[in-house]
Amino acid sequence: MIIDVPFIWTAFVEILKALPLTLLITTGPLLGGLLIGIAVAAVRINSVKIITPIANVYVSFFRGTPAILHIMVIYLGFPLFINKLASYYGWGFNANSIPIVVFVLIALSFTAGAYMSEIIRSGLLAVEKGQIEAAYAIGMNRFQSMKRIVFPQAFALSLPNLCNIHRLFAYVFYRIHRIAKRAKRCC
Amino acid sequence: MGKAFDIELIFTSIPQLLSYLHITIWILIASLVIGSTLGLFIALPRIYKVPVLSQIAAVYISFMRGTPILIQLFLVFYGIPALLQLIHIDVSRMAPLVFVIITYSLSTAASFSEMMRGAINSVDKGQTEAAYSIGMSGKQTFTRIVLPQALVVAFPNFGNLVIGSLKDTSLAFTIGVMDMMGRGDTIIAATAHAVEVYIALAIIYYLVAIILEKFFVKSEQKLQKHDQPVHV
Repeated sequence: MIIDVPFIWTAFVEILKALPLTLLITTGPLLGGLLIGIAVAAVRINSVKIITPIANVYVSFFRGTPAILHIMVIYLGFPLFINKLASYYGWGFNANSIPIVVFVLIALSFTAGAYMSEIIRSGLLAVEKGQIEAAYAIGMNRFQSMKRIVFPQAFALSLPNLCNIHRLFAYVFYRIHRIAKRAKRCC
Repeated sequence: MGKAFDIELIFTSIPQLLSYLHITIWILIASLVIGSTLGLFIALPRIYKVPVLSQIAAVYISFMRGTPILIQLFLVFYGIPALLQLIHIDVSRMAPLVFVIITYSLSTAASFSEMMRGAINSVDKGQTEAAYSIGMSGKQTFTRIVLPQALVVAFPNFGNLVIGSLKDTSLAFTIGVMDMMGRGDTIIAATAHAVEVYIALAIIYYLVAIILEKFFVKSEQKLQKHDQPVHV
């Protein structure tokens, strides 16, 4: 097999056409993951009674297994689950009518959420305790201290990590989307 | 599809998949060992600011960390035989495992060199000065004083790198290596029950990751035993 150099440019132009989809698949789960991550981080910081172990298992599982497996399980399993529910409750639609993009975004949001929750948690914990005490001392309530004092500092501290994770996801997610699409067509 | 979710299949797949676990672990260990030694040599020019080599190392690290591991896999898998064919060496019969280990070693080397650079820079400069003042040469200072302390600092990061590499090895099946994921693919082709096989794979990877994590936490505690805060 000889390397055909002019083809590199042709391939480059063709691949560039897929850029919007790549960006969608990267940023969509990041926003979804941000929401999930904030919720999970809040649960883990405040040690809510029953939900904290569930959150711990969620983060540990989604960070300890390859992302490709999350995608495959949710991508292939969720439609089965919905079909089962639909036939049980008689909803009258099946999972084929839901566009594939929804499943991709859901699956990748869960993956992203696990990483994001760790980043958000570490950002929040890195703000000095004295800041919060000072905020309470001048009479701010909990919400005000979070919004005005803790959150801006936590955001600035976690920004390098967020960019790092965004970079990781941009690479992983699009490739996994292609693999999952190919796998779905085969079964 | 229309086939029911067969929970038994998860438990029958697990032994079949475990029989290929040793290949995954072998890829992981080989790439980590080669990558770590390579990474140390790549870190040295950047720490000591050798003129040309440090720029080359910077470009290499930036490329390896900036491109997806899957793309690197394909580049190595298709590129190296093509390049070697130009000088009339035929490697089309070589096992894909070799390409996989090459790729992961190169990628691990880039991450490891960044880790070591940070760790070595974090060792107190006074240590180096003290070593020079008692007459140690540069090489002796590095191997006897700086490197051991740097390794202790870098160890938690190294644990993260190992677990990250474990997850990266899951992509090796795309170029035909028969490891755990590859075996999973053949089971899927045979039974057309993809979800159960992937759940079984997820369970195995999760358990391996937990074992590795526990090992690293224990090792960190042992390494930092001398550094405990004084209990008053």
